[in-house]
Amino acid sequence: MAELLAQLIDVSVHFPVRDGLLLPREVARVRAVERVSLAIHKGEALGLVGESGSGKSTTGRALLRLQDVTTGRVQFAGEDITHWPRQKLQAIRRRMTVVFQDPEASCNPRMRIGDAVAEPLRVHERLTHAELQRRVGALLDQVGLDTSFALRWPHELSGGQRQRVGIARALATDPELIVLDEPISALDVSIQAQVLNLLDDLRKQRGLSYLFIAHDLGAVAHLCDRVAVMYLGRVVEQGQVGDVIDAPLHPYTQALLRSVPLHDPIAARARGLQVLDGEIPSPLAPPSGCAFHPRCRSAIPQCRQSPPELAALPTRQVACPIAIRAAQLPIAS
Amino acid sequence: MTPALQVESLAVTFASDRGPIAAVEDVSLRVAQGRTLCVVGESGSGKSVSILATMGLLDPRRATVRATALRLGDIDLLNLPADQRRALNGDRVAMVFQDPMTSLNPYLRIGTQLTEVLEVHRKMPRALAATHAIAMLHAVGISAPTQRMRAYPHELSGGMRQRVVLAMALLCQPDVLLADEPTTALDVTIQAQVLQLIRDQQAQTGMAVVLVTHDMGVVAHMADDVAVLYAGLVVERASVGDLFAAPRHPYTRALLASIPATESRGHRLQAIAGTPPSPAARPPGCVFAPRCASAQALCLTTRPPEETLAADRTVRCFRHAELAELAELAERADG
Ligand SMILES: Nc1ncnc2c1ncn2[C@@H]1O[C@H](COP(=O)(O)OP(=O)(O)OP(=O)(O)O)[C@@H](O)[C@H]1O
Ligand SMILES: Nc1ncnc2c1ncn2[C@@H]1O[C@H](COP(=O)(O)OP(=O)(O)OP(=O)(O)O)[C@@H](O)[C@H]1O
Ligand code: SF4
Ligand SMILES: [Mg+2]
Ligand SMILES: [Mg+2]
Repeated sequence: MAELLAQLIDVSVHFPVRDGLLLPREVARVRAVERVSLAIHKGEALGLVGESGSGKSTTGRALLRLQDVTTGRVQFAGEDITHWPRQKLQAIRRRMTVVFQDPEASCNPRMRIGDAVAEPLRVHERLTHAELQRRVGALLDQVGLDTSFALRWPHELSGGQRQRVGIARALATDPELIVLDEPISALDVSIQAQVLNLLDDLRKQRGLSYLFIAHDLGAVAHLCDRVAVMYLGRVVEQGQVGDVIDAPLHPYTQALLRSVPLHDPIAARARGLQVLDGEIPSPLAPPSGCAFHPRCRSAIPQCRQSPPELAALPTRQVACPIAIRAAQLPIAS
Repeated sequence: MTPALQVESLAVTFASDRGPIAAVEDVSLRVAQGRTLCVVGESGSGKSVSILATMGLLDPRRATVRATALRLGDIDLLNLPADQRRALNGDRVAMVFQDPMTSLNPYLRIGTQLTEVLEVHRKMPRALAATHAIAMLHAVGISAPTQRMRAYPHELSGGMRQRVVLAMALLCQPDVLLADEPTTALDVTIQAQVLQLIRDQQAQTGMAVVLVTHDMGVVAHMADDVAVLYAGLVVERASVGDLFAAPRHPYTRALLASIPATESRGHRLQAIAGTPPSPAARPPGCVFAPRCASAQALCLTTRPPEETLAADRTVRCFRHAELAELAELAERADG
């Protein structure tokens, strides 16, 4: 297997909810991320899916050290960066970058496209003006925008074009890891494919690693090698994309996949849309035991007691003893 | 049979500082009782404007609406006085928007808002209206509906709010439900709940549904018939089976090939190059020509007319017959 590039080891991120103005005291905690372990290898794309509020973005921010972790460790390129101070992090910032969902957010409205793409280069490198221009031109070219875009303003661009600018910025410092936080969600269907293909090509050309955060399992299926499924702050299942989509083991992953629409009317009608009962619980008061138990059709009393550990099967990780038993696969020790 | 809703050659123009904007150029929609028409298209293609125009909800000072026919069952909406037309909204025809807060008042308890619908349209006494409202909340899958009547919208999750809006829309058992991307902002699991709910209610009351979406998966699950919009025009209309099995318009074909579906992983996506034209800069010929791999000289200069292929099957492309033959040949060569 390829070399390990970045990982989260048993990471939790809790946000205190405070009350009182003068002496704010913690009255509750949002357990946004709870004991998550993820590993990304060189050249690998890991998908991260889950419902709104399940902790995907927070996980991505923790991996980049844009968010301090409450417990656990963060590693990048063999170093433990969990407690690196800001200044020290600056040295590796250029090696791990991010693209956000909102194409607007990656473009300062008062900055021409060329300057926006040049900005990370200016921060991290000393270049002559001519060299800078050449690099900006090359970056724009890589994301499929011709160099005339350098002089244009963000408002003159379409959403898909702005998202390409965001990707060009993320590529500027020649990173090894890019966290893509829902980079296509805000785009039109016909534009999503353009951006997905671009991301796929860039990964192959440059040997990039991605953490690809998405609602859309279809996009993950197309771009990623592996996928991790989050529910209420925890990873409940992780494995090769094909395995997880064709044979999901965790009851939540199964329900999630059966609520994803199919793209063939005959198959769609034959299968229907499975309706998962109930609502996503609040991360302020997660259910006891397995957080999915109130909505789970396979739940037994034991599920209400202690949160199931993520158990490693030979090619899969699943946090559900019932699922493991049902799969009748021996648990690797 | 008379369609439950019939819109013929709808055109909508907005006044702007830079001259008129032809947001919708030529859109015809027909949906029969008990059936679902899905309206698909990219952002800006005119889906919402078509629906708003059908409901009579566009500001007449800014928007000029033209149509050769606009009928709700036997009612001719074009020649109905504005007040009578408004009275039909929420009663015979109801609407659900993408953002539930468009339909909800943040300062009123949801119970108040629900009962008001019946008090106004059905002249029902409040207590009876409340009973109906509670039953409807229960029907849309809201637990403890009696208690929830006292909740304010902000106390509910996004998915619950959308179900409340749906309950409100269904209270008067409308003949036609117009739903504009009702699940776009929701998680897939919640989307499945809301879509199922629409189906269940339709099965019970036989209402006609017009569902606006940009998600071909939603279309595959929900539609009987589909109208594909591109740049203010219906470029193709077909039954859902025909549309997926044998799309006739190059845009429909390209759109279907560009979708990242879980089933099609491993194939490279066939992205459509370029972006849709803005209404201010629509090309003179076929609106899809600048992005169409099959465009020829004629396509660049002349708008293709809407051609009828069969009952309820139309396409707006000069080359559709030729391309269909080519596609068939290619398929035979593959298989
Ligand atoms: N800075 C913060 N302070 C307090 N709570 C936060 C903060 N950031 C996130 N949260 C909470 O943590 C939980 C996880 O949020 P996160 O943004 O990681 O979810 P997500 O999976 O990315 O959701 P979405 O799909 O909606 O983007 C949510 O309940 C959110 O409200
Ligand atoms: N009040 C208005 N004044 C001027 N132009 C408008 C107005 N409302 C809509 N438009 C324009 O009309 C066109 C069609 O808009 P519409 O909202 O119907 O698109 P849509 O297909 O619903 O897109 P989306 O998927 O983004 O909701 C757009 O180009 C839009 O900018
Ligand atoms: S652990 Fe129990 S409740 Fe949780 S998903 Fe598995 S069976 Fe369901
Ligand atoms: Mg997020
Ligand atoms: Mg719209």
